[in-house]
Amino acid sequence: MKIDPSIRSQMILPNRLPAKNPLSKAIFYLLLSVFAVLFAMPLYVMIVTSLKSMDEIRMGHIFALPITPSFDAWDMAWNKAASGFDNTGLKSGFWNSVIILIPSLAMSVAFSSVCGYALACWNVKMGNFLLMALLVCAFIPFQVIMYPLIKMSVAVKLYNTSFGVSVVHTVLALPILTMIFKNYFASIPEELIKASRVDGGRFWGTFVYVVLPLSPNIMIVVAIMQITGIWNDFLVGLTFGNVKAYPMTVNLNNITQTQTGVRVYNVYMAAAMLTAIPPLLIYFFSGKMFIRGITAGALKG
Amino acid sequence: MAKVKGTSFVHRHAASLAVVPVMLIALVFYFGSAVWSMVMSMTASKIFPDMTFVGVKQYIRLFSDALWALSLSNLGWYALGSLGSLVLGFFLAVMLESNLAGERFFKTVFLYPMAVSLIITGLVWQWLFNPSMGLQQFFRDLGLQDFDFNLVGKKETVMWALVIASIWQSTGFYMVLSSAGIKGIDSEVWAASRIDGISKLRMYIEVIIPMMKFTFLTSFVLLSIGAVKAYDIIVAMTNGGPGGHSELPSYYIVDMYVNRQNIGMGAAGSTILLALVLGFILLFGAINLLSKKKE
Amino acid sequence: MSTVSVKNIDKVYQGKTHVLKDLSLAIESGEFLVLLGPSGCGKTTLLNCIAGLLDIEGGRIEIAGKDVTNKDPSDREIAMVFQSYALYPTKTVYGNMAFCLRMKKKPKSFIDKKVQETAELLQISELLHRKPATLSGGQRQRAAIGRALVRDAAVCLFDEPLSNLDAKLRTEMRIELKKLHNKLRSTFIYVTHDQVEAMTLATRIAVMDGGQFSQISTPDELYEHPANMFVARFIGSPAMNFIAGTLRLEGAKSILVTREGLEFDVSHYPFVVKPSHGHQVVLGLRPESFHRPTGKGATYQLTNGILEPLGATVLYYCQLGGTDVVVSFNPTDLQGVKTDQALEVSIDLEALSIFDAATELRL
Repeated sequence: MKIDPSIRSQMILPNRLPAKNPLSKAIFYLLLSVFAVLFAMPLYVMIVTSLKSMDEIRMGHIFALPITPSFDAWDMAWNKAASGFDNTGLKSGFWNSVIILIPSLAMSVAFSSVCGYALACWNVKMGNFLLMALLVCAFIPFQVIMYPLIKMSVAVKLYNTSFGVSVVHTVLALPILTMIFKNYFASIPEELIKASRVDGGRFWGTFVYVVLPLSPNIMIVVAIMQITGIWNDFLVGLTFGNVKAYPMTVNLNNITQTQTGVRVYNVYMAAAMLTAIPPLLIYFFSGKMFIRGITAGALKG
Repeated sequence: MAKVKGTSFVHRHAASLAVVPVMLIALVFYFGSAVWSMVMSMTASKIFPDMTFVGVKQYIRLFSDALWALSLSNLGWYALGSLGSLVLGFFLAVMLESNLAGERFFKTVFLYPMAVSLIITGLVWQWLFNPSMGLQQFFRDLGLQDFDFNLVGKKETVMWALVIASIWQSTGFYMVLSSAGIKGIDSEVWAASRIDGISKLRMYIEVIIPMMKFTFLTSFVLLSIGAVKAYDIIVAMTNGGPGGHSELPSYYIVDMYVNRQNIGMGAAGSTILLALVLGFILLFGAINLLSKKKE
Repeated sequence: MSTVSVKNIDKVYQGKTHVLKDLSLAIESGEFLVLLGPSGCGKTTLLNCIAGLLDIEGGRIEIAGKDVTNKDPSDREIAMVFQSYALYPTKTVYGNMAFCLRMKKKPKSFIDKKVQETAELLQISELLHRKPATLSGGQRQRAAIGRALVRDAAVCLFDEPLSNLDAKLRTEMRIELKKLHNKLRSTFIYVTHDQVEAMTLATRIAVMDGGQFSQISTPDELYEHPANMFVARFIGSPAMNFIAGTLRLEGAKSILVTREGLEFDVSHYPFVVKPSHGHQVVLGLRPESFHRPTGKGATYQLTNGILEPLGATVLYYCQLGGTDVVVSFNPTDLQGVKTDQALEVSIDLEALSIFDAATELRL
């Protein structure tokens, strides 16, 4: 009687000490549940508030479910809210964010992957020095380079344009992404690169035919990182963007910061939800990749 | 690298050339800007650059500004408070290591705030802290009359509001980092501890936590730098109020550049910020080297 | 008194797969019992059950006379050495060895004395202040053994401790372990898939196959009288040769006839139960049971041979009447022999085994 291989892997010791003590297990569950509720609470409030009417909200029962849930506030937020320049709602902001996102993603991934590949798989003079420099760059706060960046973007007429925002995002992402790519590509077995060169492949050939096909995972991770980061960005979009074409986060802030008039919290929450949904969807569907993305970004520090 | 006959200069140096764009960007945008900031901070620039050298006058002006001093002290409290993310994240990771059912569910719940923009974080928590319609009202309705949870409205407590929002946002991240660190212990070592009769608590204190020194150090640096960079959340939650009591240096600098139009002082502030960040990195490097030497 | 008694234990995974079924084993005090078998046979599972790291679904386990079936590993008076050493990475060797005793609140002087003594025994006294990451594989192994021995447990369990060492170190450590056991006289239960280790170290070997005991006996007994073809195949290197055939009973004589017509006179074979005429059997011949013709008894032809000189012996891969066999000779026996001719040999009929072709059990 042979033992099924699928079982065999579980025959290795039950890893840790499961909290055999049922008391501690119960306490843990309780604590975890309490925290889970606390963490989920803001999202719940956001959703619930966005579905209520302002009268209901003014009654002050923040956790109560809406009496008659309605998507009016959502409609308002998407189509009609005053978002700074005009009353077109978040709709335009959404598309602006997309317009900013796509070139940023393309450029940042293209430049950093090629550079990371060169540093990882080829002999580049001063390669190590460049990596150290990039490491330092990754930590430099935006405020330090903000003003010169503004001046430079004005000079090349990219200031106040969506493409300018994309360029700035690319610049900001290059240090970290290059390091991430470098570390990933460095883990590709050297023999594969050598074999490719023996077969006549050179720099680009090896990149396109050998390295890239091995990289779907890291590409997804980087894409998730960038999409989330760029979509959620505020300051860069505000500083460099076209006043008529701000990304969604800036629109959101404008909507909610109106000092005049009535504060329509249901619309604000609906607007927040609309802005949060794209990255949240990515998060809920990509699970592990998302985690790998954030840890990849951090562990290079 | 063997040179293949007949290939062009471009081909032979393809790798080095590929690196050039990034190198240029790093040099020009990052180092160039840093140098520019440092230079400008020592000039008399106001709305327009003015290359008159004034030594450390801008810095003196900067540090005489009560608002700047306030923002620095706020930064200290904020960074300290943010450590809560690390502590909470670690404990959550420890609890989740007990092989409980629903581990994935819990992890998903703790981590989702990371996916959300800081503007939204600030907005939601501002709403939660709303005195008449938010949490304060909730607690009052429960019978606790005069319960005070208006953290955002009062200058003594506004930083705590920011800290709470920021802990909500980043705990998941530090939970993931801690989890990875805890999993670094081989399952056979756990088995050995069971045979030796060593309690889980002891294992954490004497084996796991020491093993995670590097992770903790890295987290501390990341948290500090995150605090230094914090901007969006202030805009969304408090706009620096009340009375500048929730301003942080990054916010102050942007304000200085954009609203108060003072390049000189903005540059000075940026340079200080840069120094802070570099300081943290050096500290990190030093501690890392020291602990490696001890082994 | 450090006996171990395993009675009718069952281990079931996920409610359905019986990994261990109704196993029983009695281990005497001071034995070096080896659990031997291929991967997946359940030997490590059994060890973990004895250790208390895995729960059992049926049966009892007694250690040192006490029922420990429901007790935690730390209450079972056992110590364990793991395949990957499992040393606490943040502690020094001294710390590793002292950890358990510290938890038991033993006085510091006592702990110190015990650790120093054990370190002396294992020759790692100079390594006490070092951390595992700075040690070599062999040193880590000794540290792991030290951690186990310092506790003076009734029984010491070993889970393939030598698998991660290189061949030379493995041989050295094997001898060390044997010396250790001779000196300490404690009960060792040792898991391995390497039959050489088992044969050299064990006082008794329990061969396992598919969650069951195939045979439990001394190394000699296992080698000379394997109870079934699995054990016969597993023990001994090069492995035993098997030739299929039929048993022909002619009066007082019993002849084993192979398919190709070779005949072996097995009249003196001590059958446990004599099978009937025409029964399908398998003949088992160890490589060393072949000799140059002695003049007595039948001789056989080995054809199509390839020589593999190993220095002290020579292996001869050839055919005996159509079946591939491996024969081992003294180099002197084969002097002047050319491999393109057939080689004449006689076979030691005292040392053969006969198995039932269907059940693979020894007859």
